[in-house]
Amino acid sequence: MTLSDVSQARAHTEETGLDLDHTHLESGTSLWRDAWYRLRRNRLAAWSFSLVSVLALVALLAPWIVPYPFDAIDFTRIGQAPSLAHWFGTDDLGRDLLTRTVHGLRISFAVGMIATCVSLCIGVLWGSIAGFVGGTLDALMMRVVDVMYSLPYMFFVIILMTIFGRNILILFLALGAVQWLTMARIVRGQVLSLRHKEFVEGAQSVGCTRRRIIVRHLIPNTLGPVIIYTTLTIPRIILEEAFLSFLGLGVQAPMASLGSLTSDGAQAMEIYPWLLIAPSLVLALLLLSLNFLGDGLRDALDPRMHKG
Amino acid sequence: MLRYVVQRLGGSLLVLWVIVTLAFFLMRLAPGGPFDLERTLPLDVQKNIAHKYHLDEPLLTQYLRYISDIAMHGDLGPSYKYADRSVNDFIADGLPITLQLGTLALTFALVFGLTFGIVAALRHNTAWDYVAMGLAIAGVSIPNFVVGPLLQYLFGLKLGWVPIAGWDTPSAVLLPSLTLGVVYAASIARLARGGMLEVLGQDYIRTARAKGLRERVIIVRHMLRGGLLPVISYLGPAVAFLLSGSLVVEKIFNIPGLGRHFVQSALNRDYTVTLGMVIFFSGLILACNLCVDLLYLLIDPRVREATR
Amino acid sequence: MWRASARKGLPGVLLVALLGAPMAGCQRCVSTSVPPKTASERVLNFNNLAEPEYLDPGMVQGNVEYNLCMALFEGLLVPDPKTAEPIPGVAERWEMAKDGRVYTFHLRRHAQWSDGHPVTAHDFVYAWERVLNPETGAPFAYILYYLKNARAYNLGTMTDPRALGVRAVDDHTLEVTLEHPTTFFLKLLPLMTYMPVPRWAIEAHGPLWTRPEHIVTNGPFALTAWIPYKEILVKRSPTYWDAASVRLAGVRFHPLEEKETALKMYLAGELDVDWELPVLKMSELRSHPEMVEGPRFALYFYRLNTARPPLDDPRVRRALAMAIDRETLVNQYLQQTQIPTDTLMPAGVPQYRYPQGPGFHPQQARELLRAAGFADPATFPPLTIHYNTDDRHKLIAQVIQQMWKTHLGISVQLFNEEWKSYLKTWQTRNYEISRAGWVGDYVDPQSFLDLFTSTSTQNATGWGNPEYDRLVEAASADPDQARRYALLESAETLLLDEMPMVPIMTYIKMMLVKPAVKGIYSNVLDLHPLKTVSFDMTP
Repeated sequence: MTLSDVSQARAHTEETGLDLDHTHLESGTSLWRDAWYRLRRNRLAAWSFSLVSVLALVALLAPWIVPYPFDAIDFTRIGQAPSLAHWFGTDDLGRDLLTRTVHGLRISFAVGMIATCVSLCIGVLWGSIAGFVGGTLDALMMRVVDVMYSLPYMFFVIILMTIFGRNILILFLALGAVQWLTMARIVRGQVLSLRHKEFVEGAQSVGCTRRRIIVRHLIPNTLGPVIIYTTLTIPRIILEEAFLSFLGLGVQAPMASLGSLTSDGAQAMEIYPWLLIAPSLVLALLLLSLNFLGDGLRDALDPRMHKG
Repeated sequence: MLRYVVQRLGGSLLVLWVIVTLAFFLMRLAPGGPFDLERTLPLDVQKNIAHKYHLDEPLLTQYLRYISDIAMHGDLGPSYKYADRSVNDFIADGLPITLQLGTLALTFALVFGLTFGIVAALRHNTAWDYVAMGLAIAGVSIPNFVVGPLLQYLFGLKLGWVPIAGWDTPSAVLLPSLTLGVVYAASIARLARGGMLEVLGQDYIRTARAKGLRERVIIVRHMLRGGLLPVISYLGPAVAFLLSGSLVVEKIFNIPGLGRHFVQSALNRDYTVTLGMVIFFSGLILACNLCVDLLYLLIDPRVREATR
Repeated sequence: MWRASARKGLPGVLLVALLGAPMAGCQRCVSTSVPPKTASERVLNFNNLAEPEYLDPGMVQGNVEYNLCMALFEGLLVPDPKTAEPIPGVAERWEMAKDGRVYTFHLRRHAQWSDGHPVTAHDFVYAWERVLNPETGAPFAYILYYLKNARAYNLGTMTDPRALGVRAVDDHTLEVTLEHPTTFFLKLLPLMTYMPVPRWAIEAHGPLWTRPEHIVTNGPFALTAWIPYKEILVKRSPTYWDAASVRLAGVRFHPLEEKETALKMYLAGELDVDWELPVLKMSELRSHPEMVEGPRFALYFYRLNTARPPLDDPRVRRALAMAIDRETLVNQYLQQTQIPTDTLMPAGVPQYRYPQGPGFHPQQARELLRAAGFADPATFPPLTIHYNTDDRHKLIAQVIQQMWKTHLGISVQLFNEEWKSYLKTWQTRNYEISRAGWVGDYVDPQSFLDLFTSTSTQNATGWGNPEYDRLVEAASADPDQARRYALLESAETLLLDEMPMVPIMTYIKMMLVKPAVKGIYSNVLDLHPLKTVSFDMTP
């Protein structure tokens, strides 16, 4: 899990293709319509997309669709195996595990989304400023990114968690604050390469307005990799939250995340196996579909793959 | 070439210094200190101890003392919690074990990861591909604090094939290496697949095919070489992470490696140990990245050109 | 001090580590896997829970270190393995003067250190002086404060060590003078801080004297190998005065932090004693035939910060205490793995008359809350329970949160923190309700009642009562046991009346011991001297 930091971030940089010089539009067709078409044609990605949507909907509606309150303990129902009344069984305090898993899904989703948004905001801003301004500022800003890349990430998060106390908002921020590095690199690379692209210069020469260039050319071309990377960041953050939960630095009880439920479940696997199976299955399903969706999006948004 | 290496080396040292400084002061912001105990000590006793470890001096003096001890003697300081051990002792004791664990896990990851990745790429969009990638993504989706206990339960307790924990017999090393390697194997599989697919569509492969080269020659001579580049750049940081150990695996399997110190010393506020680990770890990342870049220099003529 | 421990520079360390890597792993393979043939050749595999911080008995405290120090060193008195009451160790016999302040100990003439030196009264004088010397920076020096002038010397207000209440009359006679008559003084003597240490070894090797190559010990076992985070191996010491009664060939202490791993190892036969079990498995393991269990002299409670309204009102504090259904908590949620307790004093002090605790009276609790001005529970300010990261603390906090919600209608938040932050939080009184636990060092009510005097650093509730202080103070200097207990009973009654803390339960110790291992018992102090433990190999 410790690896999920820099190494994976790097890996994903490679996967998403930092080297995006080839990404350009085939004139006339809309990139988005094209991508959407390709995404739908990729069955795996399409299925993942629907699964993510369903899970997201469940997470969003969690408080209204669960059968029990998530914190209502009941000693008469401790450790019951899955049944009609409790589809996922009950935990060591007699709480309904289905309810807790759905709530956990909600929290994990929230952590993933908000942290990713944080990283998106910082990363896009940082990267685009560095890319646009260039020169000394660019060098300086990218040096900062280098330093932070080499900073052991877990140390950083743990110290942040201890300094600012345990607050779920801080958790989001801390996780997001580290993930922005790769995003910044991607965006900067994009901006740098786009500035001098023929199609931009071409568009200028045929008298396109600045606005049109930005809207029709620059944004879509930067957005692609950003979207791909975002889809791949969410699962990573969810997994990191799980690691923090294992350390006891995750969300506060009685709230739970998929990570903390899995971690608790791992402790109980021989006596109450369903405590491990249900949440880890949901966790794996969520991460799986997010990852496949990310892969599918990459294939769809990156035309290179389909020219050959 | 030499100038480039020297330049990079100097840059890395500078980055390392920035990180140490950052970590030193950040660490002191965390609440509590190394000698805060549940049985609170009389104030005077606390003073005696603080004096003994120079913790009563101004922070800047402590910082200078710390830096000069590293620079002059290569001494990373004493541990505050383990009275007769120094940080150098910890590294000397833990590193060999961590190296063994890391090497084994990496071997495992490379063998399985590459096999899966290459098979998936060559059988693109077939059942082979889906199964391999499904396994790979599942590997990333299950936290290792679940994988470890599961393996222990199955192979250690139920089947009795291997010891449950420890590091002193050849059979004892299997489970921890497996647990640690799974995530890396999964990442490598995905990267290898991605890299190979990218190369597949390239003109030179088509040229090679057109020339009538045998498929095996094409695969070995052209595709592997190009396709494995992303794996190589992933290996840099991955090796750094493998060598820095894993808290989860070391704790679950009671392995006396380095990984546990990293998180545990931060939680213990054992300042010197944490800082020592930060230095060691960041140094590793920097060194590994440097190696990767040099490796690129040797493999890829385009990069070589650019550094001239 | 720390220059000494940095033997090699970092580059050297790295080089050695890299070159030594392939070899280091295999050297150790051999020793562990050879099966022992007879009972007297067998090494006991003991789960000691964690890596010890140090092996210097004067510098550490905690059960992990205590287990090791009991094997390696021997004090004047040692704990009885069954009852934990003190029995003769290095001291053969002793007398107490009539005033209860002066003790004379007669040491065994043939007690020896592992290097052949005789164990003398001077070793004790040196050890105690060293701990009290402010320059040593011994964290637990306060355990010796019962000696005359010890406190003043440790705090630096008195600098002459000769004025301390410990003196070697001759090589084998030690005279100890106390500050006050202390009836439980003998119960303190088995503690680590009172153990002798070898002056010559410490002076020769400094802080590294505890390394296997330097260490000199006087206990039933001698240190053979110490591989940090892996194991500590001790072997029967041939120089020990009572070596004939030591039946084990040795003990291997495993620092297994993951309780799940330890349990699996025990079940797979890789451990002989698993000293602490995972919370979730306790009730299931209860019926295990190899279970050894018993209550401990230790209390689980919640501190209340009496400086924070509404907790400044004793009625509110009592209401909180009365609204906890301890029976349900312990018997249902914890499945009887603890003992519900509503007094400060855990069960197990003979002759002490336990005062009436708050009990479980939800109706009365609601009335108290109403009287305190919270007729409508919705107006009750939101309080937070702080606890450190741990499965059991989490479980209990969640149950109590629900009980207060059900019985009082108030809602509290839960907040868990990692250990050091948690310590900072309650020690700086930056909390409202904080989980706490206390383990008595010796079986005497004073061990618990001392906590809540207004000068105690353990108090940390902001509560202080001059009458309580007076009662505890008077008791500590009273040589008459019955009178002392009467004073302490009134003190506890007063405390429970004002309720700056909410007692919850008494710990039960559970451990697993293989049937072949004889001589390990459960006792209230959870002390397990391994000297007389043996293997019974008959099937």
